[in-house]
Formats: sequence, structure tokens, C-alpha cells
Amino acid sequence: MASSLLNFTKRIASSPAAKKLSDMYTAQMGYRQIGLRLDDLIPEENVIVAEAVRRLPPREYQNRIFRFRRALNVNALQQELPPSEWTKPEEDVPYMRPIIHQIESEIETKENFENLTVIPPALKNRNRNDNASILNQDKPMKNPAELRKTNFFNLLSDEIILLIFGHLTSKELITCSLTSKTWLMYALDKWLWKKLYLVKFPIKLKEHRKIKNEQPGQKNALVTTERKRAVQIMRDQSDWRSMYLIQNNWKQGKAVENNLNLNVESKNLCGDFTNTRNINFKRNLSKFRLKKKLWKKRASGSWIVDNQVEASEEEAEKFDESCFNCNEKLFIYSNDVIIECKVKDLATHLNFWRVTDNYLMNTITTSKKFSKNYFPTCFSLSSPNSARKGGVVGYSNGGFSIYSFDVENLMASNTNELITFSRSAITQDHKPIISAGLIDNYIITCSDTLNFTIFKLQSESSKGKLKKAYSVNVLFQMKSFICCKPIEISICSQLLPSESLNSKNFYKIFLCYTTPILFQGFEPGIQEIVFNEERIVENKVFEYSKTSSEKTNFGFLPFNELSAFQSIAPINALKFDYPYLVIAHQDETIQLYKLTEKNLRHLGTIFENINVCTISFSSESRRLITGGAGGLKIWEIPHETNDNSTFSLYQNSAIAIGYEKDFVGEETCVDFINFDDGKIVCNIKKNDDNE
Amino acid sequence: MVVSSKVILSSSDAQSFTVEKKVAERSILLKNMLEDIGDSEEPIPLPNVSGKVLKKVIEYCEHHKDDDPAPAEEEREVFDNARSRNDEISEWDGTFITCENEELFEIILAANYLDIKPLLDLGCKTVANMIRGKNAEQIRELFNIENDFTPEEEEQIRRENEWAVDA
Repeated sequence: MASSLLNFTKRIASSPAAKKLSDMYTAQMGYRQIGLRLDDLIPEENVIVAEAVRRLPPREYQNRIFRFRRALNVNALQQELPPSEWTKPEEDVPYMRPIIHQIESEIETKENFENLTVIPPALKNRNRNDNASILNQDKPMKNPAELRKTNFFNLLSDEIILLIFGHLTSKELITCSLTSKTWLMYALDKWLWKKLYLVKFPIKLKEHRKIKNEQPGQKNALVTTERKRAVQIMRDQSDWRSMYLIQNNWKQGKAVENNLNLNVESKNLCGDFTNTRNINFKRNLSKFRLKKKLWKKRASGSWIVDNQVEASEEEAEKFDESCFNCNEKLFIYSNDVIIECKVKDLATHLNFWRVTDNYLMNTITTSKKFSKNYFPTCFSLSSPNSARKGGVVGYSNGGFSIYSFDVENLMASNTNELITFSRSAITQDHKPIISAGLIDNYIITCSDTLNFTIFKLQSESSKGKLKKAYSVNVLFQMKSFICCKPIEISICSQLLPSESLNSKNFYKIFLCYTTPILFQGFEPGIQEIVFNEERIVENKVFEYSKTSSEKTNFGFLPFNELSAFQSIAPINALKFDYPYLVIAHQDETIQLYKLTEKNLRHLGTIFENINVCTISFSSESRRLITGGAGGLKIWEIPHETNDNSTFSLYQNSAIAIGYEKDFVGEETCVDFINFDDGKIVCNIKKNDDNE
Repeated sequence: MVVSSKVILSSSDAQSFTVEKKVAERSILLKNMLEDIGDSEEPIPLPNVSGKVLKKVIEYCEHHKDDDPAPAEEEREVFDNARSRNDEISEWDGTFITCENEELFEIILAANYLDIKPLLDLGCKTVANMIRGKNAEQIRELFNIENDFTPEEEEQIRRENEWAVDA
């Protein structure tokens, strides 16, 4: 029997005290003199050993065969090998015994298992006892009390237990997981949570592709195809339980944050967020109700400021008060400063709030007063590498203001208004400006009617005056007839190296817009414009195309040409941060694109469960924050592993920050988000239009 | 084609039951078996099912013999949320399945072995209903589950799952 031999050899090996003796003994055995190892002596005529030989690594197996051949030869010649070829003690390692042990334990496990799955003795006995006349009268009948102590779940296969658990709710599963380790294992099963998730949060795919003259059958086929794509993407998800947790908290309005596999940076990001925020919410909620009667106006804002902001009550009130004063405000958040832009008394005010203590640092008021009611429509800061630090505010009447301030080093002395004027004076365009950007002395605006204009700001230094006077000239104008809102102007690129031409700086603008495609549906487009003071140097349009080589093909596409699920629903929000473009569609999906040299490449899809109203994205931190009815979610965009492969977005790295329950019921909506260095600022808009 | 031929089933304890072919075919296992062997007078041995349980199973199949055959079970597509979870149990089924724990589990095992999907579902639903609304300690008691958690472990799991408490 192999095991007895093994026990014997084991004893040799495991007794260091007898090592010397054993060395002598092994020397006497003589196997080393013919180049064998101890394990070579284990007789092979045994199922276990044969299996062990079969499992040897190929190299080891060859060596073994070689040793046997050599030993046979030597033995036939009745010789010994030259001492140099003897097996050295350090070479005589047990190479087969570990494998044999493993196989033995496997067999033991299997036997135990089989004993278990066969109808257990308790049941067997009972069955027999029912027919006691035939069988087993010698065995005493089992005590009924003892019988009742059997855990019948041990009889069931995993599959059946999962079927049973499949009828339970999340709450019941959690209760089950508390009963025992085995049940915990079952209750954590992926399949169960996947099912729960999808029942509770079904993937919604509205039928957007309604093509004329379409046969009903065709449409269904398409919808199911889309569904299948979505399903395929969702299938990559692994942690359904966490996803369920996130979504559930979301729906419940429970402000429970969930740190999954986030790094330190992002932990900072969520930090003590929930607590502070809850307090703020409660306070603001009561305020909402109070103020509603007074103001009877549409919507008002409240601040959410994260991270141990211990704002005193009065200051917070002051803060809120200021928010309630008007109904159209814009916010920007950068370097711990919130800049609030609003119109009050027919003049624009920029308020600078320091986040850390809700301290109102500074206010700039425009000198020029408007005769008619107007409100700011867009507000953006100068691009990071701009020589001129400041911001530009666009108005509903087509005018804009340019301000000079430096958020990184904010002091009262260096903030001032440069110029404000209504657009009509220059372009005769009275339409609201929907997007604007500022770099150095150039202002880029895009109006509601899709007039795209680049202005140049010129300073006229007049002698004797302390204040410089500024004027604005139109440099270029472009117009589009097809693109749709929303539009974002992003002057994110650095100045192009000026060495190419006359030491004049070149500027690169990315204009992101929505293109309606035929037969309904919307896709993103990006236009890249490079200009200098004299001319527009380059004007490129990047369209999304299904594959890099093919042109956009309307209508039906072969299944395999769809790179990934892609939405064509109307676009709610878009955000560009070079080179990524993030688009939130109305069908509750978020699409991620990457701008490459040639085209716009679709990278992935996030399936949201709420309608996303606003997004904030930073390609540097790879964080995406979405806000919509009900709260915020933070997503982490994984790094691309392969440039050619599409990747999925990990929803399970999202942090859901829901609101309190009573808050969700009301039509709340996150209106604005901006984030930076681990802090998020958002504005909550509440629609009480119905009243 | 013979319409109402009979099939003889033999339980583990050598009890024989003669049932209509139609009744036996509620079991996918028997259905496939009958297709393979054709009509035969030989009793079909069911070594994994005791006479008592087999009787119960046959009672179920008799009652449901005229139901629509279960649709061909493809891969369970959980994404198809159109098929909502049907947790309701008909009155007859409810009465039928009301029995001792032990018998219930035997029926589940038999249903699984004989591949009678509706009966298996019924059994699973019943067990799920037994779990429903109970706390961990009550479940342990009900099914004789040994609590192999240390108090610390239990507390940790409880804490991890706080989010779901009033789900």
C-alpha cells in the first residue's frame, strides 16, 4: 500500500533527530548511487501514484524517466555511477509526495462529499421505517425530536438553495446572511443580486429609433437588439450586490456613502460629506418651505458644501438669504471659491464665497445698469493657461461682461469689471449667449441662434486715468444651421507653439455640440477651431462614426458594427475635458467618447437610473459626477488598457449620495455641479411651478 | 398512437404506482425516458424517491396534468423583467404543500430529480415564504441551522448590511 510506505518515508523526513541515522540508512539503500531519488522508489502500481505521475510537470516527468533509464543501465551492468553523478542529498527532494498527499486528500473530500449527497442516514432510516415490514427492523426508529434537528438545507444542492433564495427580497437575503456562514455565502451570490437589481432597476431603453414606414416586427427586433447590447455590457458587471446597494440607497434617499475600490484621493472626495450635507439639507429644507410662501417664485438654490464645513447657523442663513433674492443665478467653483453670478437691481453681481467658512469675500458689481430685465445665461472662467485671469458672463440679451480676477489668489484689489455691454452694439444679435469662453484677450461666444463669434479685447491705455478703458472687436463670426443645444465651448488646449508663424499665438477651441441625425436621434459632434489674430487656421469637424474607417451610416447597422451600446436619445448635458467627451442622454444613459486625431471614438456607456441633468468631469482625476433628480453620483472612469478596445465603465465604483427621503419626493433636481480637489459644490433646484 | 397508456413507477422502497402516461410526463425526466424507451410494461425504477414522496408527487402531477406544458426552458434571462416574479401560490397548491419540513424538502429533492419545474418552484416558494418575515434567530430555529459565526463576525455583517434594514 502506498500510504504505508508514505507514512514510513514521512517519518524519515520528519525526524531531524534521526537525520544522521537516516542519512546512513539512505546511503545503505544505495539508490542514490544509481542516481535515483527517494520518491522514485514509490511503487507506481497504484492508482494514486499513477495519478501523481500523471500530474507531474513535464520537465520533472522527463527527468524521472531519465533517472530510471540510467539506473536500469547501471543496474544491468552491475555497476555504480561515478560519485559525481550520484544523487546528492540536497537533490533528493520529495517531488512526488506532495502530489500524492494532495490526491489522497482529494479522494477523502470526494468520499465525504458523496456520503453527504446520498440521502442522509436520518432520511434513509425514516423511509425504511415507513416500510418497516420490508427492511431494517433491526435498526431502532429514530427519535422524532432528533429528526427535527436535521438541517434539511444540507440535503439541497446549491442550485436549489439559490432557487429558494431567488424568491426573497434584499432585506430577507440580508437576514439570511446572518444565520450561518454557509447561508452568508449563498446570500452573497451574484446571480441573486443581479436578479434583484434588474427587477428593481430595469434597464430602460426607450424606443427612440422610430423610423418611418417601419414594420412593427422590425422595430421590435431593433429594440431587442439594443436591449441585448445593453445586457451584454451589463453582463460585464460583477458586483451586483454593490450596485444594488448603491441604487437602493439612492432610491431610498439614504445618504450612505459607499467606498468601494476608491483610492485615497477619492476618499477625501467623499470624506465627511454625508453628515454635513444632511445638516445643511435639513436646514435648507425648512427654509424652502418658509420662503416658498414669501417668494412664490420658481426655484431657489441652496448650497452643498462638503468636508467638515462647520458653517455657523447665521452665516449659512445669510448665505441662503442671498440666494433667495433672485431666481437666475450661475455658479462656478474653483480653488475653494464659489463665484455666484446673479442680477440684482438691474446690475450684475459677482459674489465670491470662500467655501471653507462661507465667508463672502468680495463682490463685483457691474457699473452699467440695464434698462430691461435680463439675466445671466452662461458663466465661465478663463482657461487655465490664459494670461488674463478672469471670467466672462453671457446674458440673455446677447451681451456679456468680462471680469478680471484671479481665483487662485483672490484679493479685493485685483478684482474688477473690465467691460460690460450689450451685444447689439456690435453684432445686432439679441439672442442669449449659451456658451462662452475666455483666453488671454479673446472672448468666444456662441448664441442661441448658433452664432459663433470670436472677439478680441483691446485695452486703450489713456493717459492720466488710473483705469484702463477696454473695447471689444469682432474677429471672426461663424454660423451653424444644424447643430443643437446644448453646446459647450472648451478652450482647453494650450497655446500652440508660436514658433511656427510670426511669433503669433495660436489658440485652439473645441466646440462641442449636439448633432441631430436623420430620423430622429442625437449624436455629439466636436469642432476644432485653431485661430490666431489674423485668421482661422484650421477648422476640423469630428463626427462620431461607428468604426474608424466607415462613415456614419444611418439606419440599420449590422450587429457586429455596433461597437457598443450607444444612445441616440436627446442630449441633456455634455462636458468636454480634453480628450474626453461625456454626454448625458435623456434615456438615462451616459456615453463617454474620446477625441482622437481622426474621429470621436465611443468608449463606453453608463446606465443610469435617473435622468441626468448636469455633469461635471475631469479627465485628470478621471472622475465623473452626475447630478439629477434625487442627488449626485460619482463615477470613476477606468483607465484604458488598450487603445483599440472599448471599455466598460464601472458603476460599482460609484458613490451614490442620495437625499433624505422626504426630500426626494419633491421635485428636486441638481442644477449645477462643479468639483475640484476633492470638494463638490452643487446647486439644488426645486421646481414648485405647480403651485 | 396509444393515447392513454399506463406507466408503472417503482419507488426506492419497491412500491409500485401505475399512472397515466400523461401524468408521468409532467416529469421531464420521465418524459425523456419514455421517449427513449418507448412503451414498455416494465416498471421504471426511481431509486432516489421514496414511496411516500412519490405518492405525493403523483398527486401533484395528477392535479396539474392538464396544465400547459412548461415553456421550453432557455437560459433564464433575468433581464427580461416582463416576467415579473410570481410569488403567488394557488389554493390547491398551498394545501398540497402544507406538510412537515422534512417532507417538504423531500418533495423538493424529488421534484428536482424528476425535473418537475412547477413543483420545484412551488417547493422553493414555500421555503422562501417560511423564511420571510423572520429574523436570523428564528430562521436558525426553523431549519436547525447552526450559528457558526463569532459574535464579532455577526456584528460585522450586521453593520455592513445596515443599509438594507428597512429596504
